Amino acid sequence: MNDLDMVRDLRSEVRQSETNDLHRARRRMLTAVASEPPVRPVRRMVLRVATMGALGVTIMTGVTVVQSLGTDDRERGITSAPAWLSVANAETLATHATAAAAGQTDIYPRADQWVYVKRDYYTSPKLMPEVVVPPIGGGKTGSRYTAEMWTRGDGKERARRNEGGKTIKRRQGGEDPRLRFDPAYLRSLPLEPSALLERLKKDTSVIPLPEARAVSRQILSILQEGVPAARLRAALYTVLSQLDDVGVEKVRDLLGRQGVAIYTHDDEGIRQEVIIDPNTFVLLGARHIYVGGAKSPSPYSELPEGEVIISVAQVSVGIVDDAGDVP
Amino acid sequence: MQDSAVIEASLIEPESFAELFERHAAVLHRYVVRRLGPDQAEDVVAETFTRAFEKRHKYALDRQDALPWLYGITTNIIGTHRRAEIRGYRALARTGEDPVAVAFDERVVARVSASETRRPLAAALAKLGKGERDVLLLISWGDLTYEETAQALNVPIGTVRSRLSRARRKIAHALGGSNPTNVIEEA
Repeated sequence: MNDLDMVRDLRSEVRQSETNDLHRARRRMLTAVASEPPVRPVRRMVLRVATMGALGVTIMTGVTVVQSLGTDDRERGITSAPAWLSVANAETLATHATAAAAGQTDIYPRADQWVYVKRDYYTSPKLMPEVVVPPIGGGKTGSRYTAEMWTRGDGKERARRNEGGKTIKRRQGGEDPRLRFDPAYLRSLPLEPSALLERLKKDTSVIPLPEARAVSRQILSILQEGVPAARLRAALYTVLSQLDDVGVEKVRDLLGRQGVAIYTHDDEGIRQEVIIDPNTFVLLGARHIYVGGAKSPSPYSELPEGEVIISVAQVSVGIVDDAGDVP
Repeated sequence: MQDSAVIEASLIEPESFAELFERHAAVLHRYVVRRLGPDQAEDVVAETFTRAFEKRHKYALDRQDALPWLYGITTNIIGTHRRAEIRGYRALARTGEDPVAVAFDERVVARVSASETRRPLAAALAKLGKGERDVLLLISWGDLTYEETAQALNVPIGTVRSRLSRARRKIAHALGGSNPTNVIEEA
């Protein structure tokens, strides 16, 4: 840990501020705002020339009225109810998660502690045949394995133990140094969803993906790797639920646990799901499912529709003192 | 809608400015808590947004993110509480107890670091010049880039770099490190 990291760590245990901390400040700001009357837009005046019978020409003033010519989908006969309904459900799910999180305690590790996550993985053998890809997780087959991961509290080091392994592999830094999910970073994120969305847009602007996809990818990384506290987790669900074309569906995760998936679709015909426990709102896992539409030479174009490409289940998470420890 | 668009809209409809408060007040509040403690944080945030509202006509609308601008206003207000801020660091340096974290973290399981570096670090923060401390904390606690810090403080980016370099040298010295190559510049 260098000197700047030590400064970052100082008072990093201060919790994130929330609405209740800002009642008086909001009132003062609104008072200041209310004291300034709205500026009435200057309406464009036109000169209209009108003839008044045979009396000659009179110049009159008039107001140009701009009429909106837009029509919504219902007027064009396009049925958008299912999409609209599912977005509403995703937001409802996020609202419930927010309410449940309000009374929960924030727990983050110290900079020198580690976040432990144990996961089960499944990858489609149709996409990556075992003859091509050896069992990367050390499991009996290449398509199903378990791995344990540790991320240091300051995000500077990670470690991994594959299924059946007796040793851990340590690695300096994260997979992508541009993407952070360490506790100090998580504590710096706002809990207010619109502010959180803007912050995530800014933090992912270096990723060469469309904005919404970059944001959803970062949210998934934070949820899976960072194991955020309940209030931040609920705020992340809210942001996710407000992205375009989001839906929800009851699903079972890799371990057969019933959950609710918040899903989005990418350009290659992949449905990306985040699976949430509907009672505790903790993250159960995530899936990528091919829903069709990919064209050659996309690696997905040969897959049958509905094929689960990858599925990940969070088996257990916790905070430990050293890499290699388990909760 | 970008912050700049919110500010532009508030020139016609002042109540639009409330959106900026909803987006950034909590982050600024936590920053002020870390610097001054919870007692004064809400007042500082309220004053920040009141001043920002009054000065919004001067906002450079080509800057989409208003957070650096708000951090700049907050930093100016924190400057008027300089003695209280330094008292907090000195108390931490003297006793090892941090009144700021304890006062604000009733609901949090405070896994306070037992690190021996906290006390000399707090003592070093108390001794930094105001400009050095502002730059160091905007970058490390506010998560601003060098460029955003320069915007916030309305100084050239070179000034940010030199102030940060001086601050880090002093911090490293206070922590017992004397090798200047240990101080690695972070972008």
